[in-house]
Amino acid sequence: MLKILAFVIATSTAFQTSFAANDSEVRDYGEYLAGECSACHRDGANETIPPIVGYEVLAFIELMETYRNGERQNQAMVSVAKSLDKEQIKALAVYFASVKPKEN
Amino acid sequence: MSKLSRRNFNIMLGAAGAATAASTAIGSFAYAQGKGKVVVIGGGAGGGTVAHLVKKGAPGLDVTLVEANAQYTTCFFSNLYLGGFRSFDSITHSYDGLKKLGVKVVTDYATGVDSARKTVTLRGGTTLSYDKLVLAPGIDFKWAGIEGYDDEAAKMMPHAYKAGVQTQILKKQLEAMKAGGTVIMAPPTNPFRCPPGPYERASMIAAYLKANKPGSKLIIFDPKPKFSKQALFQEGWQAHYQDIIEWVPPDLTGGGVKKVDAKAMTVTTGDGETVKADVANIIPAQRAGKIVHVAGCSDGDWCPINPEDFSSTKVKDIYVLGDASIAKKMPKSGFSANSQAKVVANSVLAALAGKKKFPARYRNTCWSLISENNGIKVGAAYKAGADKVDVSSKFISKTGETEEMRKQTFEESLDWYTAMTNEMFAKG
Ligand SMILES: Cc1cc2nc3c(=O)[nH]c(=O)nc-3n(C[C@H](O)[C@H](O)[C@H](O)COP(=O)(O)OP(=O)(O)OC[C@H]3O[C@@H](n4cnc5c(N)ncnc54)[C@H](O)[C@@H]3O)c2cc1C
Ligand code: HEC
Repeated sequence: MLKILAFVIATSTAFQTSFAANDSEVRDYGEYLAGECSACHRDGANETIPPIVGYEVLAFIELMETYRNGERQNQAMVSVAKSLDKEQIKALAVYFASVKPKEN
Repeated sequence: MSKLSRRNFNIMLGAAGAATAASTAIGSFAYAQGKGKVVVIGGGAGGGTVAHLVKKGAPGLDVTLVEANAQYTTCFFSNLYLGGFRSFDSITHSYDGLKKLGVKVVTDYATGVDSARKTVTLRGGTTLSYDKLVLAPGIDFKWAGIEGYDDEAAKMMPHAYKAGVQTQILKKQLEAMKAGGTVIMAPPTNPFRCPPGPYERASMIAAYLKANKPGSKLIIFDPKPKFSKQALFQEGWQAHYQDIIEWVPPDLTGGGVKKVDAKAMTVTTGDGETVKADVANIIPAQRAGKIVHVAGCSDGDWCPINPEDFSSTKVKDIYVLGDASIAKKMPKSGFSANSQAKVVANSVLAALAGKKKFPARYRNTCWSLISENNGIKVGAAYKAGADKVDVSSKFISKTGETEEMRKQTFEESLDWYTAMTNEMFAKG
């Protein structure tokens, strides 16, 4: 938990220093980065690859962190999470938080 | 356009993106709406995805997708169809979703590109003009590599390396074969689409033979001394198909199959040995689809590209992606083509609709099925290097994994298939 907290704090500082602009720019960046996710994740699939829309920003960041710190070990997701820096994860979190899950 | 709407528009633009607008040649109104013509040739993993994302990103753009066939059967999972794990219908897709989105889908074959006039001509006689042209035609075969093998011979000895009728021929032949028969497979030389493809196919054919044609054999005359995910495949073959699959490396055959006689159903290897087959799956060497050569984008068999956005290094305002491009170090795969498509779409939207261009990121993952619920995967993350696409990190399944892990890997591939085909065809 401590680790996650440190990560979250680091993320938000990085976020503040490098994104002088508003949230919509961050979201746009997140939307672009999310293109990489939609090869595997879709809205509505809830079997092996879960949908990832609608998470709170911090919850999303924590989930991503579980693939970076070894808590979760799916090779494909570990590769995805480790290839992203903190700003990118934050941008993704902002973007996915803004997308409403589909009603099934 | 009325004065009023133009004024409103300028105010909006002033707030949101004046700086970027100044650097674009198109008028400010056109800029925000997205104005211009995008023509995409080839409605597969690369082209379908680009058409979808460009239209979705800027509905004002005129997006035309030229595709030779009215329906698309995916090569991915076509091996599972051969193995009996997937129906043919489930791997065949329509272009209805893209049409509904507003993409103009033209079922025709592109025969010419005039890059000076910026037009494309189609076999049916239509001429299309473009501001940006995206070429994703996949592969063609280099028939000359195997004596006696051509388009006609392929009806008797299918390659099944473009999915559709060819895959069905191979499936029917396997079904019609007697128990105790011999299947011969000739994988292609490098580079070719889907490096693990022939070996997943061998696994799936063996699964079918094991369940339905006792006593049959599958002999692989490989022109290559090693292949993708070799340790994992060979471990699986040892465990499941020990009496069925025989993989023969090139040093034992003088380089694999060099000649076929489709009527006699024989193949002859480089050292002159002739073998009779009941079913022969001959996969020739490959090169980029014809249209990229016509367009002047190729250098030899494939097309050099700028790693930051897959624009052609040879012809302005043309992108080449997917199998047709030299995307080293990315393998030629559907996943790769879909990943490249995102970067191409971003670049097109930046050029024609004033969107921000972000640094390229690429990824690939190739799953293969060895036997029921026994999936493996290999993958990597990539970034644009100076003159090629560089690997940032990679991963691969391990030998000796638990059944549970393998099942999870297989199930992952099912979800990936749905997600990716949804994206290619704007479904779901
Ligand atoms: C047996 C097999 C298994 C595979 N398994 C996998 C897998 O599990 N995962 C994976 O990621 N990849 C897999 N692949 C690879 C994957 O199929 C290709 O890499 C991918 O389809 C390449 O995408 P593309 O857009 O470059 O070309 P394609 O998907 O081949 O699309 C090209 C399209 O362009 C059309 N076309 C060509 N020329 C013209 C023209 N002049 N005018 C109009 N239309 C034209 C064609 O009809 C075709 O529909 C497999 C391939 C094979 C053969
Ligand atoms: C190659 C396929 C693939 C890609 C690409 C991919 N994922 Fe995943 N993702 C998975 C799989 C498989 C799982 C389930 C893994 C597990 O069991 O822990 C998963 C799980 C997750 C989870 C956990 C969800 C939960 O409810 O537990 C998050 C969050 C996530 N992915 C985010 C992303 C993001 C963000 C991207 C894009 C930057 C992405 N993924 C790209 C395959 C992928």
